[in-house]
Amino acid sequence: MKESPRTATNAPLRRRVVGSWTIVAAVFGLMVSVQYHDVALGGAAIWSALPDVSSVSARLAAVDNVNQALRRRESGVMRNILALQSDALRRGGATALVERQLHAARVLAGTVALTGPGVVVTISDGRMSGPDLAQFLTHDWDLRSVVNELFVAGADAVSINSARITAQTGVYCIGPVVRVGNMRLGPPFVIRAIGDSSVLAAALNLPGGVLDALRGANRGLHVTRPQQKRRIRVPAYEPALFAQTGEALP
Amino acid sequence: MRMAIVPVLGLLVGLAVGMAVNVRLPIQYAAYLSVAILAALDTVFGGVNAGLQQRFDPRVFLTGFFSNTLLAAALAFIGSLLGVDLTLAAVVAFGVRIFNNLAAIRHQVLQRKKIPSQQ
Repeated sequence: MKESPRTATNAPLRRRVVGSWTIVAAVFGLMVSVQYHDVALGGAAIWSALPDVSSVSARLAAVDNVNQALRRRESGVMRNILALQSDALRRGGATALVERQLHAARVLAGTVALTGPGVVVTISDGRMSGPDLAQFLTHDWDLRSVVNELFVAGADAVSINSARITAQTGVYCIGPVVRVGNMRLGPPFVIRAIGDSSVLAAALNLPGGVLDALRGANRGLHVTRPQQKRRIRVPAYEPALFAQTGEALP
Repeated sequence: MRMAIVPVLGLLVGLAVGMAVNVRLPIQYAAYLSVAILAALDTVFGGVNAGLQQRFDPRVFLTGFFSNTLLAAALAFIGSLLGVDLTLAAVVAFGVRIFNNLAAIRHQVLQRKKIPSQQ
């Protein structure tokens, strides 16, 4: 009763009331739907309500940050050491031989990144067109056969994506992805090998060899021709401190 | 009733935008949005209550909405920095206020209903 004359005469006030409600409703709706969407997707909003989970995840993030900072420092120190050693090599003298042996040992152990001539071959999963999922995936034994072939052909260093293959690196299947050493890798798998590029390429291209076996068997895998390159970079072996590939799980 | 149409449209637009935009909340920040939503819900119910009591002020409403949500999230953030779970405090405090507001709204609505039935 009191309301109707007041709202009728006071049009600016009424407009302000409606405007403020509209702004608030829109912002509120946005917040709610963002949260709802996240919950519906099984995202972080579910876990954030659990203090245990959120505090543990915060601690994990903090430890990851510290680890990354340490790793950055470590790589800086390593660069310094390598520079000093190549300096010592250049000066010659009694230590030069030891330094040269140390460098060779580092290359073999895979603790330094290498550049040099070599080949690159990329293996991607096939497109699933039938019921048999396993047929169209790249498996651990597929990668192993290529890596073994490269080493047999005399490669000095081999890597799959960002994982350097060392003497201790195992390649095995962990469900949908392939574990290479400490890293979980997914397709496409880019295999790089440093060595005599024509020999490596010829070894891979052998008729009926490893790549032919991967291309055949009606599996639909995409295997590129081995590309010979004058300079490729093979990364150093990285011990597992934090997730190497993919994004952090929510 | 006609006054409610535009805000409802705004609500729908907000909901649609939030559903359409694919935002994934990082787990560190998801807790702050939860607290902010609680604060916003409290302010909305407070606004409804004030409207029913004929003492609604758009300026108070708008500033209260934004400052409450931001302050709640900021407090929760400071709490996480200090290792004190202030989100829990916000959940309790805003929960109590929301139920108080709902009770007040119910009383207002019931009293209003009474007047026309007596006429």
